[in-house]
Amino acid sequence: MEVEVKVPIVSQEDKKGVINQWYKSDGDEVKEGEEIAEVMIEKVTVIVKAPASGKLRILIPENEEISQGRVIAVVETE
Amino acid sequence: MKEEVCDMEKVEEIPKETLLEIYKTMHKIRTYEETLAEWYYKGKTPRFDISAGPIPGELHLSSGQESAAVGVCMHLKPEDALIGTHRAHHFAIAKGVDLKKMTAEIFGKATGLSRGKGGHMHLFDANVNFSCSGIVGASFPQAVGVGIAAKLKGEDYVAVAIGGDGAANQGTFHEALNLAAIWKLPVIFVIEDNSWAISVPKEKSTAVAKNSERAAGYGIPGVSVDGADVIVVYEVAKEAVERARRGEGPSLIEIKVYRLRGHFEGDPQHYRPKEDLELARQKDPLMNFEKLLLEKGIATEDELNKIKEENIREVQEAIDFAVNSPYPEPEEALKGVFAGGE
Amino acid sequence: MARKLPMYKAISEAIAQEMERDENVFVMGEDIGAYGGIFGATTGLLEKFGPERVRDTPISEAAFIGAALGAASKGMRPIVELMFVDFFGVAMDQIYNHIAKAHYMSGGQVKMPVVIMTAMGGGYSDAAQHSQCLYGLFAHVPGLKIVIPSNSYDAKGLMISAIRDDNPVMYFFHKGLMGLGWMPSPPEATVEVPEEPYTVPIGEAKVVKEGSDVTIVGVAKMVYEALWAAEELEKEGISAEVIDLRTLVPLDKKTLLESIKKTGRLVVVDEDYRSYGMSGEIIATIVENGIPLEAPPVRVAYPDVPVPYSRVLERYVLPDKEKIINAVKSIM
Repeated sequence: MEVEVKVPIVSQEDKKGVINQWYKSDGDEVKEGEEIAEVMIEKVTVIVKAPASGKLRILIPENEEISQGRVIAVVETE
Repeated sequence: MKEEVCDMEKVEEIPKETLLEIYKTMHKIRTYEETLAEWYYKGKTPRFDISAGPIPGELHLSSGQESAAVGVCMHLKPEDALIGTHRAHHFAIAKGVDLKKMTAEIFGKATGLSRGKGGHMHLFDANVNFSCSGIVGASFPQAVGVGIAAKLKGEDYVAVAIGGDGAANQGTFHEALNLAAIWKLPVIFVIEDNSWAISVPKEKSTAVAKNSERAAGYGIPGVSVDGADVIVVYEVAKEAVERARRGEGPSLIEIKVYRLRGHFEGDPQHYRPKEDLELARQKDPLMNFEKLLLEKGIATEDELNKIKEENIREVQEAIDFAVNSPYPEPEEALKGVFAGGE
Repeated sequence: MARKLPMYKAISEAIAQEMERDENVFVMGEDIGAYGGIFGATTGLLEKFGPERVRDTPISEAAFIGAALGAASKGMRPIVELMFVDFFGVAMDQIYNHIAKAHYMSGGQVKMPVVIMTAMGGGYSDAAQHSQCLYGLFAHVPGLKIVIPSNSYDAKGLMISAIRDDNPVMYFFHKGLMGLGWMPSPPEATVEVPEEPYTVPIGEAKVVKEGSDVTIVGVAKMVYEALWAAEELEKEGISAEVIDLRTLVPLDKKTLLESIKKTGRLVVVDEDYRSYGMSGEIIATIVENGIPLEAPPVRVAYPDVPVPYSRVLERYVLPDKEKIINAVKSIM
């Protein structure tokens, strides 16, 4: 099963940003609740946590423009 | 002075020409601010880099707060001083600051008001006695000083000082009110209450619900009005300015305004409740005034459209002027600390 | 095992760990709660410790900084954030006439374990009232310790030292070193930061690069400009020693003098205004100790002008690698 990892909603307006940093690499095992990335929407930085435990598949790299709610990775659970 | 709510009788007393001028200036401000926002973000995406683009640094826009500026400045002459704060474009435009030079200044060009040295938070136009700065609360004592000059010279110009809801908790606010009161100076203190000092809401920063209550503490008249209605602002400002010109001393006007954008550009307002932003949109003074003019048959859509087109053109000309102007020579940075050279 | 942390996280982690260890530590300032500080220095604190110990204040610096004095007199250990050092004017009396002097004036009866942390520095077009450094001004008045980290390791260690110090400490962080995604920062400032609490001693400078021909001294962002200059000078056969002062008060004269004895040449880099400040103090320290110099000392300092807004103007006045290289070459 794949659980989506989305950019958190920080602003009510359609503000964009980037993934500042992936703390984990593609293929890493992650635990639910673990901090896996840092996203910056304009000037505000938010931490993204793994929504489930499993293997992380990164879909969007750092520094590419993202909107809030976008799926940036999935966690493959068994 | 008392609390004011929109009074259609008052609107009917105001000549159409004046009402259209109010509309024109408010719409011009909105057009300007939204256009600047677009230019600000150039070069700053996808990763927000504050130092990049044609307008680097910070930018504090006044969308939603136009009524405060226009309602007050309609009663001011070029000789009257207006001292603003970090969010001052609306007051600058309403005061009659040269739009092209102001824009060039914001773009850091040699043709700017301060030849690129001041920037968006430090706009000066001596021709219309306008200045602003980035230190909260600095405007109040400075306006008092203009009042002193007026008295010493026996002139009838007045001084208007602007601060936000946050500024009303700065020591200078209280000192200035008291000083203007005891010396009976022609000063109008304007608190533009948009409820937010960056992320801190007024309920958490201010011990009283209305700053007009504080005016009583200094023995001067004070009123709080809802800036969603520019005519209400216009009426109370008229009273305050005329009082001052008659030599009857200072007043405080608190204008509730609604910040449509973040505190600075790049602020996604993650701390702001959804209802608050929605309320701001409902209370948009420009939208409300346009509705009033049309519904009451004071102006036609064609008339308003013509005004809008003129504004769009004027703003575009100002942007073009700025974009096409040269940057200053780097060595200019070392000049101008003291008048008269070294 | 250490992870790399940007400076803003290192600072907030230091504060969090001290707040856990000592219930007397609390924080006051503008937008330091829900916003986490506009430069991120108090990220996560409100969530962890609640609004009684992490207090968003009105825009009333004189009141809440003066309040820090009162709280300290009753055994609290307040940390206050002055949002931009440029705003010190409205609160300076409490800082320099009271917090700085209480211990002395009371004959030692009163201690002021207050940390005043503040953002400094420019280079990103924030103009005259939001880009200053001003540490020279604070270093000039007796009674304030002045620390200025250049990297996240020192940032955490110096913050913990500052909080544990029973004296007033002004803690300056350079906005362009905080590692904030929206403000360019040299990647070298983000280094490994141990998870456990640790201290970096106040009053100790660090030789961040050894050399033999010239000593380049600086703090904060200027340390990196000096290091980049040193790298280029190396290619031309000039060996520069770079000192990161880390603390201005008390000044580590020993490290400075040892270095100058070795190299005989001095370049001081200062982002604060040139005259009557840090650069002059360093030079005076060397000269009055009679260390023989191969050439007159040189200052690469911010000229005595307000910070201009326009990017071309600001770049012209800001000390940088090129200006340092030219200064060194002028005395070789």
